[in-house]
Amino acid sequence: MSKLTRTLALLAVLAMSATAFTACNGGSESSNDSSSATESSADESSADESSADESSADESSDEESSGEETPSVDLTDDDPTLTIVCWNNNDLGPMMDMYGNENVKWEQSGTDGTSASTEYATFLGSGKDIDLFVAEAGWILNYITDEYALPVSELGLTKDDYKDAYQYTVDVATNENGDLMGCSWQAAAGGWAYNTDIAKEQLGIETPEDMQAAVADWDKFEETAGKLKDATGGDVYMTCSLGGMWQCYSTAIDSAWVEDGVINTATARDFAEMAKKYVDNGYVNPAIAQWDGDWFNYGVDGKCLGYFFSTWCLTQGAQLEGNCGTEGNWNIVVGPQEYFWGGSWLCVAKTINTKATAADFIRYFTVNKDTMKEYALSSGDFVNNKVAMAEIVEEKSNSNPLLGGQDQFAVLTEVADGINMSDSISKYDQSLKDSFLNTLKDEIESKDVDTVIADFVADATSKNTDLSAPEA
Amino acid sequence: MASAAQRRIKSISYAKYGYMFIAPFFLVYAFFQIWPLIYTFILSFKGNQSNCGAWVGLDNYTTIVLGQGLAPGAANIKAEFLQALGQTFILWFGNFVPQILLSLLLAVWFTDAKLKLPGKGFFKVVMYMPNIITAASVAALYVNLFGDSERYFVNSLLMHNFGMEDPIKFLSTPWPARILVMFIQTWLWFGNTMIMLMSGIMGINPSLFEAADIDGANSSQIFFRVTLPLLQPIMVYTLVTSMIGGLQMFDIPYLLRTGAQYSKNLETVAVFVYANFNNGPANVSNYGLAGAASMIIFVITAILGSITFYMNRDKDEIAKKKQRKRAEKQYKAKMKQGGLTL
Repeated sequence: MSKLTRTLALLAVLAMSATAFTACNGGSESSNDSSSATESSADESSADESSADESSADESSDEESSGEETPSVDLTDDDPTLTIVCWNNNDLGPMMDMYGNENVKWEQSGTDGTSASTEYATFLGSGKDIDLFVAEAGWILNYITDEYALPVSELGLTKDDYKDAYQYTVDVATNENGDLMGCSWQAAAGGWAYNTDIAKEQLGIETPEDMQAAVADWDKFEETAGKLKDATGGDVYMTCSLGGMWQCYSTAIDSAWVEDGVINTATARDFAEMAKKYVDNGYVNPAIAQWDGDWFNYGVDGKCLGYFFSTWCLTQGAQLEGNCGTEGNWNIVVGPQEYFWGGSWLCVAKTINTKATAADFIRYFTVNKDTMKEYALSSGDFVNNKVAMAEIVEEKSNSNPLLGGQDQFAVLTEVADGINMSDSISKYDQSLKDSFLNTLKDEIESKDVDTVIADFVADATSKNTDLSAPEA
Repeated sequence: MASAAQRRIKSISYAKYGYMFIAPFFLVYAFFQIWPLIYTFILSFKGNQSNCGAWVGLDNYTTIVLGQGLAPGAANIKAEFLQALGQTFILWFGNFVPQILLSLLLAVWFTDAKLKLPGKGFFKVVMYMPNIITAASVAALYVNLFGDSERYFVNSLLMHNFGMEDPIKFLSTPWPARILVMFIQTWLWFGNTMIMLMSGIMGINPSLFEAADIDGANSSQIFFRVTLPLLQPIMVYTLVTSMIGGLQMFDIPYLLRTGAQYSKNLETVAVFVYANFNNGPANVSNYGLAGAASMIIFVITAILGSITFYMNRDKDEIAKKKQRKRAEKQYKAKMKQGGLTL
């Protein structure tokens, strides 16, 4: 009897301590991941060989659907479910609908692109079954590292597959070893979206061509903002947020935030001077940041003339619809400068165990011209394939009801061609941008530009221990 | 003479089963409490961002305390930490003082046998209620009430009904935001403190109150001469727990914001730690600084806690103890001299 009690007690203790240990393992293992990566991939490939018979059947069907050459890599699904991590399903929702495979699902980490940049570290390291993850331009470099991602060559994708893609999408996702670490389905060219009713009533602007002429450069943009203020008595802002203007202003100049570990404030200072003028004159409300409650409402409320929107803002269910309503009284033009904003990449998570479906999914949306074209037409997203986009524009087959039937692709194809960001991005970009826009929001109204820049640098260098302030 | 069986029974110790049964708790405690504590201590000696994982000795501490260290922006890190520390104390003080006064007043009222307040139970529940709402919901509620533009309730009320021209930026100007946090913290916690003080007051022997009453003491005399001195143990407990909670204040200051970024005017030490720790992968986060800041706040808490205990020690008891010792000494000395002569 006592033996039984003893055994039971021991069992209980063992069970409890075992749970404690397993719970702890998740955290400590992530640091070992990089070292054991080679082992595990070797294991997987050997497992793949043994099950090659099964997979060959799968692959032939994959081949048909993608219409591309089959790579020499053996691809199998060890787990039927393809899990993709993202911060929302604005893009993934329509993509999964069109792909039509019930085994593809998404999981949320973070509430927007900015919070995802920090939350992914925990989420991807949690040991969950994650096959692919979506990363944004501002912070993709943080996650296409050995710790979190595998090269897409693991799925048999090579740079040759992306000869028709916009070059910057390949450059950004290439790591220092020359491996391609992510595939983008979109080219995030930006434009100036404006409310046609306000333009007509307050400024007498009837066509997109006239609007483009009125905002052709920053001087004209300011002039128009002044006219708008005079006409409305300051009730309608030119644009909703300084953050949007910064996106246009900064990326067009192609200046890097960081040069040899020193923060480059030249562009930020120029912009702060411009922003000061706009705020002092009441052309823009400095208190509103991108993604604020008010940012979402000013368009529908008719309290701003326009937004700086990127291609992914124009898709169904995205910002154009949410912020501006569905009446179709908006149009888009190139705006003061050609620029880009964001863009998302599908990256291969270290924990992938659904390689065949993952490869097919990526090919479907980033390589296969026909399916990409179909996706562009159905969703309104600007897909990452020059040939497909050129065909759509030529056929005049796209019209966006939210833009009153206008074809946003025709406006933005040239912008997309000109995007170059390969040399200017760094892993600090998201943090620096947040720091700068936050300081700007808090201080531009009450302090001078020198103070704003100094405070921004103080904040940025205290958050980034690697970076130093520029010499005065 | 004990038999062999009796001897064997004597040698059986049941203590080991006791240890076995309590072992799970200690194992879990060790892994989830002790080890993280030790690991935080270790991390505080390691580098940040590109330097993560490297041993840097006391660099993080010198950076935070002296503004000198490996990071080019060390002076700015020190400035930010000091600002966060200052704000922590401001926010704690600003919510603790009104909270304790309000709770004390209500606790005295609710326990006063003479007052016979109606609906005591109802008010106790209502006043405790804010404490059971999660901080995230409370923050969301107040952001929607006190948002910076006219779309939000208070500003809309002031602008449309009271003819105010421009909205008040409650959330992005330093003092309105801080006062808001103090108010929310008070509102959240006064019910909890009140219940604790009430249990303290009810633990006081009622005959003392009766005696004071019969002797003709008025209610303020009873409060200051009877209630407060006898409430001291509970007061010390409240003070210490509130101080620890206050120094770790995180959720409301972190969540009361207008955009995607937390408000700098409300940055507490806990927010500083979290922001440095949670900035994405290890090579863009500052684990070392976060660890060092945690250790510093731990030391500050320990020091302040000791001071509180020291200041609230029972002085009468200590004085009596001293007297007793002195008397003992005197007695002993006299005994040596040759005993007492009566």
